[in-house]
Amino acid sequence: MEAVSTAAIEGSAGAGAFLDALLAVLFSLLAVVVVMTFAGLSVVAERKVCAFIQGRYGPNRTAIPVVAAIPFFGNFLKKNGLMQLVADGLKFLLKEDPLPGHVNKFWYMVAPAMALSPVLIVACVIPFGVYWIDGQIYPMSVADIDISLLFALAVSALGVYGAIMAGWSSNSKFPYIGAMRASAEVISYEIAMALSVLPVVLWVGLSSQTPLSLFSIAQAQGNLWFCITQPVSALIFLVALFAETNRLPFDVAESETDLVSGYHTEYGSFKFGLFFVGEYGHIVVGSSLFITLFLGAWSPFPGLSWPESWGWISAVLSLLTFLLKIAAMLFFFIWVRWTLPRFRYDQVMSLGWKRLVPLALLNFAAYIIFMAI
Amino acid sequence: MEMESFIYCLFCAMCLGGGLGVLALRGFVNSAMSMLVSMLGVAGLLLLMRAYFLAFIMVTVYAGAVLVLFVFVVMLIGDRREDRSFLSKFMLLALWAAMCACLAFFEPQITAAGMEASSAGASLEPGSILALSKNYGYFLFTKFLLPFEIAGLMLLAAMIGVIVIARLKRAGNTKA
Amino acid sequence: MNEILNQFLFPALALFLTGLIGAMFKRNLIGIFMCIELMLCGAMLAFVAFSSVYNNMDGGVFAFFIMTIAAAEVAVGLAIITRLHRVVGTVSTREMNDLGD
Repeated sequence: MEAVSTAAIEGSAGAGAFLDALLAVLFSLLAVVVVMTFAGLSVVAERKVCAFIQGRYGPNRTAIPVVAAIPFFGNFLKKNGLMQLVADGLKFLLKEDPLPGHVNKFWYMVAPAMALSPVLIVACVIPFGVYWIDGQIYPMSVADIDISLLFALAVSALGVYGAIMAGWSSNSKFPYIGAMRASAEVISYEIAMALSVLPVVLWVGLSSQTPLSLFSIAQAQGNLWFCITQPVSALIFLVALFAETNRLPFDVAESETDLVSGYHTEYGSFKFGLFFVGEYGHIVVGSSLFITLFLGAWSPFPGLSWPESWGWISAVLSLLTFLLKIAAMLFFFIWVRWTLPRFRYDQVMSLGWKRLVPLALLNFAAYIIFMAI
Repeated sequence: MEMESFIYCLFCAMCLGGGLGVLALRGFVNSAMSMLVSMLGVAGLLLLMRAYFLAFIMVTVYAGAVLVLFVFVVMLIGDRREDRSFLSKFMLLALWAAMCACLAFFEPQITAAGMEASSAGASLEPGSILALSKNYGYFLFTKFLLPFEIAGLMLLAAMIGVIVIARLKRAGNTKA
Repeated sequence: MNEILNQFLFPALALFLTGLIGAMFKRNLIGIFMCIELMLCGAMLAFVAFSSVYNNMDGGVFAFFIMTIAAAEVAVGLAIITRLHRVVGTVSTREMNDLGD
């Protein structure tokens, strides 16, 4: 049993307890910081990119008094709206946090936590990069589990409870409908997501002992990224990811034109902030999964990977590559949001069940035949 | 206290506390959510038993789909505060406590009986057979192939049955 | 070794008995159904406990089947409950005594 508790701090068998502890703390901080920072930055990025697509400037007036006075850097921050991030964060923290009288108090307060927790838990198993100790390669994740892909899919299945509880506890019609729509959509597209990942697992299983581990999947993409060798799976996973995160064009849960604000209508400053961070965190974590599965995690170009001989420089570069890919995926998400119109609810359901699931199954069958040959 | 026993106590508490919540809480949604806690506790206990694949399948299927179905139906029906059951809540808790006391009391005898019965080697060391996912696949397709196919047929029958039972009456449809 | 088995059988048994008490004494269909699910979970824990102690795969695979069957059973049972709610108007078993006196 001791093996379990030490295996949580991955590898580095001969490097001493201090290094183990330091690495564990470092990677925990990394997971939380990456998710939270990207979720926060996406608040600003959303507005700037949407403005760019719509042909206008985004937020470029917000200025914090002291920082804006810094000659060159301050102006850069202000014109790019990065201080808007601080303003929004402070707004969420300092505004009065309403607790309406008609809500179910316990579930009203617990629901935002239930929406955010799965995001942070899945962020623990994502390999953000690699590092080497004594010639042995290790992933930069908080926990390197042998079945981390299954873990990620299982825990993101629990994210539906946050939406359900939020909508139900609000004791109001629009949040309730939004919550029901969101949860039905999420559990429908989970199936397509899981089925689309199966060919990847089979492929990796040909060459690895632990095909369900995200680290093995990322390592198996040394030759070609899986988005090139399995494009249909990548496409299905991407579409399912858009639906899982309730992101336009699958926005029926919070369709701003017909459902006020969906399941977080009745929520105020901080709890709404938690939902907000949870939603963007889910986007970040989901796109990290997509990057690990299909876009070659930390390799800069299909076929290349950072050489071990560069030591810690290579480790930092792998982390930076991963973060750059997350940023690119975030841009893609925002781009699609402001480009495509929203699906109707029955279109969403029929796409999930009648088109994606059979397509994923056919894809799986095709890859089985292909691999048998 | 060692880490493993602490985690064991935590998951046991989640499991049994959630079960108690299903028994004793008023309101269907509250008992559904305490069943969620119980399921997560059971998944944690499965993890401690080295059945990693089963634990995560349990979270995905049971806690992530079956319970969501429960919650949907509860919300469809409406969250009634249930009327008092046959025994009052105090009696239910007393019955549950008596059950735990009986278990604790009879435990040495169960242990003794088990000592005689166990002859095969016990192993919870790493690399035990339950820990590898591929064993499940192997056995499902060799030794348990017939139950596997029957389970598939049964799922199909259940799906069709659900659609037939829960279908709304359409105008002109004479079947009830 | 037997301590290990006992330590995992105890929550299985307790969960099963909790479900049993609930299924016997609860007065609404959904509560009864949830307690049946608890019983299934307890049984599954027991299967996996024995399977892991004796290093045999049968228990684990059977737990897999328990999960499958539980999922199907929940679907059908909830469909029946929904239908019954539409017909009778309530899920309380106190109201469903048409066959009695």
